[in-house]
Amino acid sequence: MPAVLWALEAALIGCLLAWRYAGLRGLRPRWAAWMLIFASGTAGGIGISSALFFVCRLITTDPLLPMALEILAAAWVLFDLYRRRARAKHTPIKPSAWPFVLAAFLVIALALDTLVISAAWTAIPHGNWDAWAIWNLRARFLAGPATADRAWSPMIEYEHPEYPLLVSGFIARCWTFAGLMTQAAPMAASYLFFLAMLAFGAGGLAVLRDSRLGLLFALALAGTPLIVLEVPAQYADITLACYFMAAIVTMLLDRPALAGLFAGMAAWTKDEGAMFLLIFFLVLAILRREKAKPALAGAAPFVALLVFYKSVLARGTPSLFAQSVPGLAQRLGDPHRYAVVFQAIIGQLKDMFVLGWYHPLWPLLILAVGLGFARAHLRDLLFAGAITAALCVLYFFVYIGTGRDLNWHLSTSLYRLTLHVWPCLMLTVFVALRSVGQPAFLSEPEPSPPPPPVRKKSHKRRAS
Amino acid sequence: VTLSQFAIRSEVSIVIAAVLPVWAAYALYRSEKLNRQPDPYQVELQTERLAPVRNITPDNAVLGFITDIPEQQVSLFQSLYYGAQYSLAPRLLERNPNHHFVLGMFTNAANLNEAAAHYHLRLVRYFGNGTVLLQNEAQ
Repeated sequence: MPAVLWALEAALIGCLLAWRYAGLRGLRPRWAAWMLIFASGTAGGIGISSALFFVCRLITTDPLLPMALEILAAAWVLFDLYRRRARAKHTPIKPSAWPFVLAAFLVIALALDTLVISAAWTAIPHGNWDAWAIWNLRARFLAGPATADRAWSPMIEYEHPEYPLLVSGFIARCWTFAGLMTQAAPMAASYLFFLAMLAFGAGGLAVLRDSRLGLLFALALAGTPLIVLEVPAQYADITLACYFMAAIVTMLLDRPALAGLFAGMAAWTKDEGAMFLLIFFLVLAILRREKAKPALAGAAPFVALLVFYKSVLARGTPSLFAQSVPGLAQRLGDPHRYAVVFQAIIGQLKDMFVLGWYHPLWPLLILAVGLGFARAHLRDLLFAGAITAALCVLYFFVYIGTGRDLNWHLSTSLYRLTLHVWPCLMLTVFVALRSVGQPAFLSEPEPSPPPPPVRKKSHKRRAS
Repeated sequence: VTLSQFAIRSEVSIVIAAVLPVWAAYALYRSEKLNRQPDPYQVELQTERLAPVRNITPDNAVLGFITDIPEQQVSLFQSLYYGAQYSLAPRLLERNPNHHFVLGMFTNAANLNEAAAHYHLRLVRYFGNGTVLLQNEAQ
């Protein structure tokens, strides 16, 4: 239980930081703003506290340093909130319609998901293979007295010492602060990321479009077995999917620094996150160049941490890329590999029919037919779609070029890569949908108003 | 499409898109309740069995690891080795007998005796099911 409390403490401090500094409070509807603060605070708080613990671990084995820094940060935010409370203007908020029925449906779906997850926790308390063989094992090294360097030692080459340490670092932090290694910490972490991912989607779409679309999106995610079943696995993939979603949603909400921060956290979670980071900034440079600078500033701390980790601490450990270089050209030119990967992808999409006739695509298709798409949402569609498409293409070529046995690689990882991409794909479709109650003839862009009369004064200023 | 037609079509699609995921969550709950296999890699069992090793050895120890299961039996060897590594972490397990303490996992007592004689290992403790802690007298 103390480990769970420390996990919640990180999320709570994150929520305070998000409440004060993320600029999400003013968003409407208000429940969506709360959801986004919860999601940003949880994902951000876990990411920041993990990185803080890791950096402190490099300096000292004493847990008091990161603990004291966290408490100081919380105290500062509380003080800052109190200081500004008097100055804040209390503007009346218009009551907004709250779709009770959809919210109730979401609560029911989440309750059922939680029952599934908790049953799995009982059956596999240590998670699936990679959880105890990689993520939680490295967390144990980080939490041990003077054994942190084992987490990136070449001596554990089969346990991927080159992988970044956001998830392991956070679990180690909870264990160290609590003083015991209990499975409740990784369970709580993956469950919090699951909730945060849903909250990002629901809150983000409610602000961007309308409340009902936001809740329908969260419902569609909650009804995706691929996602729900991965939560008790205690891998880093739910975390990664959450950060992908966070970066795209906050960018669509025009919070570039926050989006950059989440993209950086994704890179510090898994190597696929570093790919996402590159794609994210590439798409940003093409489609929203003016937002690139603040996004880069947001990502910088975690990128610096990743570069330091890869180039200094984990230097010399084997990486998938380095292993794939010999014979790469030959593999890229082998048509049989393309056929194998395509077949595996089709098989994976078929495997998502886990409950007989139900596929997580159905709610998407039904809404696409029922609501249609709005041309006015093209800009958001392009941004989210470009990232998702580029991610799919890059993942595809990782398989084509992999130096490992292709069938083994596909069978052990394709479902997890699908898990990363699936919420982004759903988000892409949802942002393009017409808002509920907005028929086609209202959703077309209105004719632009005539330009305002040019003032002579401003002309003079420009000329001068 | 008129406004009322659109309203009806959108409301119907919303109802279906809301009901389907709830049904999926319920169906998943029903199927998982029946199908979940408890602790398939017996990690919990390993953790319990190796608890005395954790008491005997310091947290930062590096232990050797030997077994009579060949590495070619990939799934069995890996679940034994990685399970033991996880259960003993932050202690480190190396796949050789060149350390003061050596964890042994054997399917056959004769193989254990042979390996102990070959590597000059002394039995420290037997934990049942072929799991032993050995001491390398040369280290």
